Amino acid sequence: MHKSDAWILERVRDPERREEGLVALVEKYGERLYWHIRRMVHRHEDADDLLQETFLKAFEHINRFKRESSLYTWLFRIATNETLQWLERKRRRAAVDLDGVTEQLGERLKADSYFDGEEVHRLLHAAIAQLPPRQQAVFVLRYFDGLKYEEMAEILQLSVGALKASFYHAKAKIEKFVKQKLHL
Amino acid sequence: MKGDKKDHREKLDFEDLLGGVDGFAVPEGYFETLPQRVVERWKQGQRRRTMAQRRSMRNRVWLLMKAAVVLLLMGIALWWWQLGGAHAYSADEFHAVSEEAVIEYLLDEGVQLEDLVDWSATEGFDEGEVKWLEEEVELWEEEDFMMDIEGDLNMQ
Repeated sequence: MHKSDAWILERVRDPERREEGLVALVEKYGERLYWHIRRMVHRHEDADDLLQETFLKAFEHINRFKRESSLYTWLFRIATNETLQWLERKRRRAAVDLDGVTEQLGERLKADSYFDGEEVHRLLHAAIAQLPPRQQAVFVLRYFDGLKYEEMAEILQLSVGALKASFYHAKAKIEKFVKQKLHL
Repeated sequence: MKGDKKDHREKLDFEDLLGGVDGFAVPEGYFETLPQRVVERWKQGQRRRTMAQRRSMRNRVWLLMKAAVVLLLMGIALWWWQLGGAHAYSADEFHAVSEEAVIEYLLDEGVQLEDLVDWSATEGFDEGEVKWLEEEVELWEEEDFMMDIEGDLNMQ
């Protein structure tokens, strides 16, 4: 049974019981945040590193958290920002074209011991990887994490209308890419 | 795979091929050990921060010590300079001192006037000065001689 957000915040803000609060925070949100990050960065090691960074950053700035939003969306915002920055850095370093990204990712997923999907799953992730980072985040938050558009608007600081449009564009690109590759 | 809140417009055309999974897996026991690993990383960060703060404090103390030494040296230099200035009389001030006062001072300091005559003769005093010194020596010797005689007479 997970602790309530109020219980976690009380402990995290108490210097004597911070560690207890941190453990409860990770126990409650670790898994959901992990999958959110993993679907954007793909490799388990990268996701694990970014997830830990997310919690440390949240922990460090917990006093800035105002109860205007839920702890859940606040954590998702930190995780998404960390992941988007990581993707931008990676893109700049790699400087490969879209076909290169797809090919590289396909090969990497084949060799990844923590990926047991089939060809269609590899193509789905390759298709997501082709999207611009922010559009990736929109697609992952809606399609995989099942967040409401209102929650996504808080996380990405975009309007609901813009998010809906972005999601449908992303969906159309992904379908086109996968169907083309699978000759459907 | 989550996303069970999706309506039909949000399902992908090939949704049935995915079989409700995304293909990703995690090492066994990953989520159970995650909280402890995050705590460990946080503690490492704390230790690094503490060490960095100590290093920064040490550097600051070292800098202050160096500044203090420089200030001390500057103070000493200033003190020497002022001390030298206090004893540097001008030529006019020297002229205001009477010759008798100089001689008296030299005698008080234990300087023998005979020696001074010999020394001044070799160190470039002009003849007038040397002659004056010789006369002074003679005068002092006579006074000493007269005082000795008076002393002897008193004894008798």
